[in-house]
Amino acid sequence: MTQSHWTDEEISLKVMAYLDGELGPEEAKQVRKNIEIDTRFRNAVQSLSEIKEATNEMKLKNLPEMYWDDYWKHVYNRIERGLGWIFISVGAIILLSFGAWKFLMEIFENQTIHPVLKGGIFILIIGFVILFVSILREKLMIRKIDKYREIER
Amino acid sequence: MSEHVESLNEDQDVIRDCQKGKKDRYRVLVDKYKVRAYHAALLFTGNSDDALDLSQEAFYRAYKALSSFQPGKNFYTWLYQILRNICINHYHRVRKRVVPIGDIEEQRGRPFILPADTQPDEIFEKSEMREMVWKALNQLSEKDREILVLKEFNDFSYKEISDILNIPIGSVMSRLYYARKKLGVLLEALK
Repeated sequence: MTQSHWTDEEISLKVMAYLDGELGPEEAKQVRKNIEIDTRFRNAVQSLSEIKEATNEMKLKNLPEMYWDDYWKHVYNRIERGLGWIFISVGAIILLSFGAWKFLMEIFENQTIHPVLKGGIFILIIGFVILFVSILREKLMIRKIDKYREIER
Repeated sequence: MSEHVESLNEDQDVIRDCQKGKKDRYRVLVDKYKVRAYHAALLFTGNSDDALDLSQEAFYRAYKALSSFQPGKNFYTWLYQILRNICINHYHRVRKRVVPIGDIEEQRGRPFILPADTQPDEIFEKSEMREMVWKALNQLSEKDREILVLKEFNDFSYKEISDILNIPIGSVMSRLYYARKKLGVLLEALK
């Protein structure tokens, strides 16, 4: 296979993939062969190797060993705390709902409270329920289609 | 190649166990990727304390979202996307805190990967080329710097970069090639 018709850019891209270890064994063998016989391939290797050498020399700083020892513990604690918050939230919702239900039953069964006041409370509750359902539905709809949902707002 | 497939299969097994509620199994993934995740965060924050905290937060959020993890996907690529979002939010939060309100808009377009206001010695080990490469990297556009950082310092494959940036492999190659070419020109000029 001859690559004499290839542009310099095509050759550079192929050589770059070769140097990055992205080619299969057959393709890599072909590129190696071309490097031996074609100066354009050799030039591409030389210019890309210089840049790779410069970046390869940049080694990222590591942390002392003691930080790695505790790393999992910190992640685990966050997971556990997260579960704790879920239980607290569910518990609070159950307690508040039960309290609200008891409070409403108390009001509606109480004969001394004026029917207009009962009606007002009833309308107020309906308003809250509609508002809550509407916001909840909107949040769920946005969540379904929002590709940035992992981003904290 | 088979080593890579084996590693991916091991991740899938662990994820399946975690989805069944075996919390402790998650440690296998944390131990396997903690250094990479920390380094990835360090490149965003330029600060080891923040990098440690944000990388742990990314592992926690990934655990919480494991039920939505698509089987067959690369776990680390997915974790990196979560980490990247956390770091971007962190960057903007910190900027809002330290920048006067009138300057926030101006700061919005500033780089968030390898931030220019950090020092290279906070991120990289001492080396001959460090200052020069750092200067050159900071003269590149955000787009060029990001693809270079993904390849050179995060060691992602073309396929993984294509998944992270949501662009075809061909675009990854040409973007990477032109970014390297620009870096080469800048390094030559700085010599």
